[in-house]
Amino acid sequence: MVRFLSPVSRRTKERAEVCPVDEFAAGTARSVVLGEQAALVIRLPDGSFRAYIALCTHLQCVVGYSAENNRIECRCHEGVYSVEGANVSGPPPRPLAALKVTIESGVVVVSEG
Amino acid sequence: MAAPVQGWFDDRSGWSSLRKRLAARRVRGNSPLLYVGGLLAFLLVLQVASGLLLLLHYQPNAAEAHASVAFIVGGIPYGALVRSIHLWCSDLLVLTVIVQLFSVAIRRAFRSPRELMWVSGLFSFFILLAFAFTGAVLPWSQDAYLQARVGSEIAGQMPVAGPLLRYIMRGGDEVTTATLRHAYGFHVAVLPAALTGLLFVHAVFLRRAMPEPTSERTPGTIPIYPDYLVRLGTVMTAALVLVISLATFVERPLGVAAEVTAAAPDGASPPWYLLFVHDLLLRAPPELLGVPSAKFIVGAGAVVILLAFFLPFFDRRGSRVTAALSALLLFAAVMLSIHAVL
Repeated sequence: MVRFLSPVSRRTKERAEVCPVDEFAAGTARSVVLGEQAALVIRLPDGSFRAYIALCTHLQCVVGYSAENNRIECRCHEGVYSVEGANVSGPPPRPLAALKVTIESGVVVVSEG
Repeated sequence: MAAPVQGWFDDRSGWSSLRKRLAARRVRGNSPLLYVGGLLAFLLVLQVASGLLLLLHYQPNAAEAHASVAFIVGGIPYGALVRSIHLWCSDLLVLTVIVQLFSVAIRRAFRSPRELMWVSGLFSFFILLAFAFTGAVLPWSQDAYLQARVGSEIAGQMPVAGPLLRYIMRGGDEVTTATLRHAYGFHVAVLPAALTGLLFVHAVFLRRAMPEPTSERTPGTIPIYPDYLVRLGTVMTAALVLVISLATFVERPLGVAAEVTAAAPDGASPPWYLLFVHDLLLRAPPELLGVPSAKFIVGAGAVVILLAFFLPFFDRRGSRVTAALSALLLFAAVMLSIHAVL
């Protein structure tokens, strides 16, 4: 009965297009919906990309990129991650879950695994 | 004119004889416990009434939920007042039950023969919290989305039952649009049914546990009719005035619609009764005794809750230690909550 009461979420898409690569300025970040979850894509000053499931490993608040401090922050319980996804300070116990970034015909695409 | 109507009504309802019986029965007029139950029942009725009105206009799907609540507030006559009453009344219910719970623990009123009243009362308290959680999710605002995420994740940290509880609270592995539908079903059907059953059981135990009303005119006792009922009516009227005043003068903002990708805002905080947990989670280091701090804090909380359920069975006489620990727990929670706000 418990299983009936709690239907499994339908995760269909595990891949999302972000934007054309030339519109994505270095030192900025964008958020996209991957499946039904938030993903955070950052373009580092050297032009490379990093992408993570945007959920804090502490208690799953949605994290955001702080361009000012060049780091990823969770404002619920003041968790801080580096742009490489490593938990730097505050309560997060683990690094952020990384996503794969590819460029497909000039478009930035983020996907799982 | 009135007499024949009264006689006619009496024949059919038995009101006069009931009144006479109640007038002959006396209760201790100054016992606050006699009024808390009535007050809670009254707030519950107010909750059901305002909830039913909201139900008529609310759309339980992620695409329309927020807009429908915004329409209740902005487009339906007195809609803002009804929503505000529902929110304030829910806070007052939680507050009254917390006060009741701790006053019973501190006065050690869970002792025989009231053990099962304590257990059913504690169960009702958690059903009430489940009402508050699911209700907070329904507007599907940014705040609601955040509460759905963090609330379920906190529950998920609990040892043993955590993952299952999180799964049920989310309606799946993750917080999705299914979470909202799920919260709605629980809020308007599953939880009301559960609470009705529990309160019935609670009342059955109450009947057996209460001292029998006496017919002797001992000092400090008052007749149930009219004295006690008038006093109870006064308490209820005061509660109604308080709820309507708060609902009229203190706004409960709806906030912006939920967006999956929006980062949590600065100063995001849980409902007032969970501020102490928020403060603990915020100040704790990443690990405590080698366990992630969130798991440690929630685990410790779960142990306290479990002990609370069995309290009347291992502390049959109601020791002073229990009373002192309960008071200490309340004091610590209040202090941490104040710390979280400052």
